[in-house]
Amino acid sequence: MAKTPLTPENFERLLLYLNSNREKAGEEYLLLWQKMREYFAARGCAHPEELADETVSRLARKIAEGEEVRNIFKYSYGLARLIWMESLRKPENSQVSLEDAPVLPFVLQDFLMMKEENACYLHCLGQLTKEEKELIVEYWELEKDDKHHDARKNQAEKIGISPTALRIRVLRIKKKLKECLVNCWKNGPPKTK
Amino acid sequence: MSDFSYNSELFTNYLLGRLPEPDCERLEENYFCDNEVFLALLDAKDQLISDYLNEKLQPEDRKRFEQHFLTSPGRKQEVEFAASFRHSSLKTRREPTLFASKTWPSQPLRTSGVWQTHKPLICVGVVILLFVSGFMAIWLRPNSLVLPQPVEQSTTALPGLATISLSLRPTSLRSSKRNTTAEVGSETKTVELYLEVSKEIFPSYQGSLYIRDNEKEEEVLSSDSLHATKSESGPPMVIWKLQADKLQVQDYRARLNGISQGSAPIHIGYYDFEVRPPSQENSSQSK
Repeated sequence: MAKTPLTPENFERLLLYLNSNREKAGEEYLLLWQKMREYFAARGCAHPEELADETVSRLARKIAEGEEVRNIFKYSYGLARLIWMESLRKPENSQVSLEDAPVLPFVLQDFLMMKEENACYLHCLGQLTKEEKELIVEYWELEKDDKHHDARKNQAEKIGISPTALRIRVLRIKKKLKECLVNCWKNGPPKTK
Repeated sequence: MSDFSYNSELFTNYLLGRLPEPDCERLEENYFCDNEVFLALLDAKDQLISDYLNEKLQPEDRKRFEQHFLTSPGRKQEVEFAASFRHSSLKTRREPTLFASKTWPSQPLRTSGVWQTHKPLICVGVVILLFVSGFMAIWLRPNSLVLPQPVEQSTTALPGLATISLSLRPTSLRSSKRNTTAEVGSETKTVELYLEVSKEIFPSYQGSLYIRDNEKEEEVLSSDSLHATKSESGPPMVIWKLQADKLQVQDYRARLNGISQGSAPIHIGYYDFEVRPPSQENSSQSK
């Protein structure tokens, strides 16, 4: 699939289309990208993030070209569906078949044992602000509860934001941590003096 | 918000790929158009991952999760992150410097109720335990003390086999029936480790060898050019040949990572084995 470049001008127009308030537009964009990623992952695509990027690029281009888009979210869904169907023509974009599916429970158990990864985790947590750290750790704590939905509502209330805003903050922090962790796992944690 | 909001069963079926196509499309259109529905879907996904990690999923769901959800590289990584975060966040709770302002429920407070209620029983238990462990320590001491020493020094009289092969499974899957002891003698040149790996084969593997239970966990040996070989009858194996003269009478742990281009090393597993001097029986066989 040919990649559509996302120019800064097109991206700016997309943000403006999502919301005239830049901060809110940023949140909307993050959510929209996540929706696309989830969609491609649920459809069994091997590279959901790349396809989400492609969908965003095409969406931004269409808007910049002046295409009439009444409901940007519905339009995005249609575009994502089209890109998914295009991706089916390329076998490398498909998920592994059930028969070839790796059975990896032991990977997860041993994953927990890795000292180095814990060092990376602590290093990456250290890159967050105090508020971000507290928020994400409390959020994970709630994930262990059977009924964490209500607890999250309470957490959002405690901070004075809506559950949606809480979720968006968590998405941002997780993205930040993920980027840091991938880099740390690849190159090792920075050595302390 | 639509009626999708907190229908976690619907979301779970969608995530596990069990929803009929028309329902899938309806749900997808809904979550694209309604942020609340999408956030509820993310909640359901977190819950599903959490249930999987806590082993709370029904066998059928667990199988479906491993065969459908985990086959997507992106989602597999999400589960690994979740596992890592959860494990590490527990550790973080014990790191006072990181979260000085946070008041986590402390362990002594939680155990104090148990202590108060069962104080006499616990005291009797401790006395019995001390008695038994003291007796065991005296009884087992001559056999259990194995001091680290070079193989060459300890086995000059016993030649042992030239090549020793051990077939090892990851520690989490290890069967008690497997032999994990390499009897290394003065004539032993190589210890071959046959490390069982999952069906997902990597272009190459990275092995690191550590002395088990060593607080420093210093790497003794390593290799970056290991490869898996497929077998018709069993799981794929990574063969790692170790020079016997680099080994000591110790308990070892080999760590294996899968290496693929452009991504971080993926941890495959830990494999435990022991190096011991050859027994008389094995030594005489090798002559």
